[in-house]
Amino acid sequence: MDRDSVAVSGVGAVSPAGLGVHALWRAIEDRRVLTGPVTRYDLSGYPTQQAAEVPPGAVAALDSLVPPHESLAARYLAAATLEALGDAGLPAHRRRGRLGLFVGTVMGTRPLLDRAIGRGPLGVAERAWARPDELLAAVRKVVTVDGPAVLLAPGCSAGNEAIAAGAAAVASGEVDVAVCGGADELSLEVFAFFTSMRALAADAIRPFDAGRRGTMPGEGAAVLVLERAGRVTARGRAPLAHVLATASAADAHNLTQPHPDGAGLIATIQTCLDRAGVEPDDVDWVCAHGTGTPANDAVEARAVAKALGGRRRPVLSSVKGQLGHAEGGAAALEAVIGVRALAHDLVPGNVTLVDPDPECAGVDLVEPAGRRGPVRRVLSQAYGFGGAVCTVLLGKGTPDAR
Amino acid sequence: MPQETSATRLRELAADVFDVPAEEITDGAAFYEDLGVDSLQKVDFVVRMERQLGLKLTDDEAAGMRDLGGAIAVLRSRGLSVGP
Amino acid sequence: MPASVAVRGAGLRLSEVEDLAALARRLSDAPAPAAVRRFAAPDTVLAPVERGVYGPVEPRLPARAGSRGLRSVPHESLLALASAADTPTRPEARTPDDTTAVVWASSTAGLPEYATVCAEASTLDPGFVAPALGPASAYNGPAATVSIRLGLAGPNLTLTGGATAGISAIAEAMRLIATGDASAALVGASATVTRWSLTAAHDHLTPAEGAACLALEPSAGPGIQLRECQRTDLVHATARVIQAAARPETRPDGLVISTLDAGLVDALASGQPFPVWHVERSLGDLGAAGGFLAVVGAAALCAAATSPTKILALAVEPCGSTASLEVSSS
Repeated sequence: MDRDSVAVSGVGAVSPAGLGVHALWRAIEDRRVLTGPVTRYDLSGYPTQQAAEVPPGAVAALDSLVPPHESLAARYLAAATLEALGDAGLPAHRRRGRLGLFVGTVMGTRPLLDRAIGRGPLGVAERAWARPDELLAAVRKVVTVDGPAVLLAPGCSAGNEAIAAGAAAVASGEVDVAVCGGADELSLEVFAFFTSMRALAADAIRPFDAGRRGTMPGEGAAVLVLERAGRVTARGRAPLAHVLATASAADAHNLTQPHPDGAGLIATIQTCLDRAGVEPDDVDWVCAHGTGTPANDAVEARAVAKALGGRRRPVLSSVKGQLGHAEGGAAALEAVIGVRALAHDLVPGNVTLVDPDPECAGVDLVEPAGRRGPVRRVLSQAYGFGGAVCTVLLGKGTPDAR
Repeated sequence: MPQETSATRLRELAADVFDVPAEEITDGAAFYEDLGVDSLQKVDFVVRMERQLGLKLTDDEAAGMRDLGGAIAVLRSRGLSVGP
Repeated sequence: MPASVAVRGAGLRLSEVEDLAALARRLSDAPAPAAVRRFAAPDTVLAPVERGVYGPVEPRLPARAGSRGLRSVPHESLLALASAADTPTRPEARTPDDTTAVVWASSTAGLPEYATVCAEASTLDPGFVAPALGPASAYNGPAATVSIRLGLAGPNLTLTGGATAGISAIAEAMRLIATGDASAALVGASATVTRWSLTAAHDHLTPAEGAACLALEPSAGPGIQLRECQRTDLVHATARVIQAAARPETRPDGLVISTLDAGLVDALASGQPFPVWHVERSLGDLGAAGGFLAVVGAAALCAAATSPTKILALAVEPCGSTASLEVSSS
């Protein structure tokens, strides 16, 4: 193992499974579907009323962990950051080298405005919805940031872009510790927009299923602490995983529709393999973007099949059937699940898959039960409205297993 | 709540949403294939039509509106009077 | 990050600032009077307000940006597109295999669209919210619009936050060039003033709207170079300025600061042997775009100078985060 390689030394998460990575991974292992009726907003009158919420009990439990802030996303992020730094064995303040924050989001603090939606003119209470940097305010109260504080909002690739930016900052020596992640809270604005788009599933999100009808919003935050591997082992700890490569591109095609050939996605996958010096068959799990919309999944499956054409079909599943689409939090949550999959040698299944779409036959869709077996490398891709694509390749933390 | 409209009004709405001259929007000009409209513009057209007319279309009805003639047919099947 | 990148060209859409020469003058002149405008937010409880602002700024789209399909594009994305389309780029930037990146910074992009969807959701039946507003209500409208309209297939990244985001956008573009993800980059920043943005406006500054864009290339050589990006806290940033000023061989010829805090500018300027310019005093409050304009302003001052010049651009946020970059001409 190269001591200069970029290692994941800690992870943290707030998700529809509750607080902590343990709860998240248990939900994945137990194949729990965490979408259900929305309780935070009054959605009476809406044709579908389901999403994946951080449970009210977990939201209440944040009070004992992080400072108050109007923005739930800001508090999710602070809680996930504290967990990840603790997991890495790093203090939140001083004596741990220069620390930078790289955070992805789609809507940031804007959902504060949603709470003013009622019957009649929009009430407007809080002000933090107009100040994007407020998303980092709660983290700053509990963690000393003496390096970059970067808020990335490129669309739903945000979490992966944050990992890419943080990994580069670690590799170049700009920071010793990169806190990388993504956060978003449930947005009624997004829900209203998806309702108009007729893009919401009524019962479940079924990525790659012939009967998929759409997606559902989710929420949460996830954080990965990145450091040079040598720093982690010098503390007497073992890296949880390695960031083997990242790659960014864009489709330059259409604001809301994926490129019909997935050109940007294919380019980022191939670049990741080239940079890491691995073959398509070396990828044991493709953690798909898999939103469950008719437009996305077939394009994605074809692009992955093309980019990872090896002796076997690429092994692919999406966790969005369980977690919903957490937007800016999605790719970061998926990266944390990827880190756990590497550690536990479990490929999560397509839990809600009933009838695999023949158009997705180019990939090996993981059955709902998931698969036990060596997981040496995980490829996780993310993209969204606006055409930005970012893909991350993760490898095992232990040198003998790489 | 207006329960009648006209092909001319619908054509003007489509021209505005799609950003194409009204004369290109013939009854049979397919939104996607002939007019180069994307799915967001198409849904935007449907929702603005629903707002103007104060009615909710089903997903299947919305999906069936592939051209102006198709849109008019769906509205007539819902009992609306659509003049020239 | 590469040691340095070269600036190939710039495009500006700022209130009463036509080009780099005018920007250099504006930074040194007394602040211009602000035109009072009325801002309203229909279907909300927000009362209309009148406020002196720098703007409005008309997009004046060049032919390169095309004309069809722009009717529903938000004003801020149009300003971004206009400034980007006006920025000279390499001839190969529009060929299919080129990977010119678009990296954009904004504090305000999508805010009026997000708020309008909320107002519609408050007053209309479910399902009647205008779908076209949805994708435009995130922060990435400007970068997406520039990337799609100019046909640039390289990475497309958006940063938000305060003034440091404007300089971080350049740092991330330099990173994408260094890793090979991008062959070159269009980096820009923008801001718009609406009734919504005014709820978070600072009383002592003039809100401003506008956009600016720089074309960055990996090649070294003559012309304006950007190097030595540092992102740190105020203590380290202040030390950088003091240490650089202490020795003739490292001393910059000037400092351009983007900050909401005029007192900080005075403190950093006191006793320095070089001039200090304050972006917000001259151009108003542009949020994240203020940090970017510190770099563009430094480039403008370098371009206006008759001999090789080195100017430090610095962005400081109220929380203490800073970003700085050295801009020089040979």
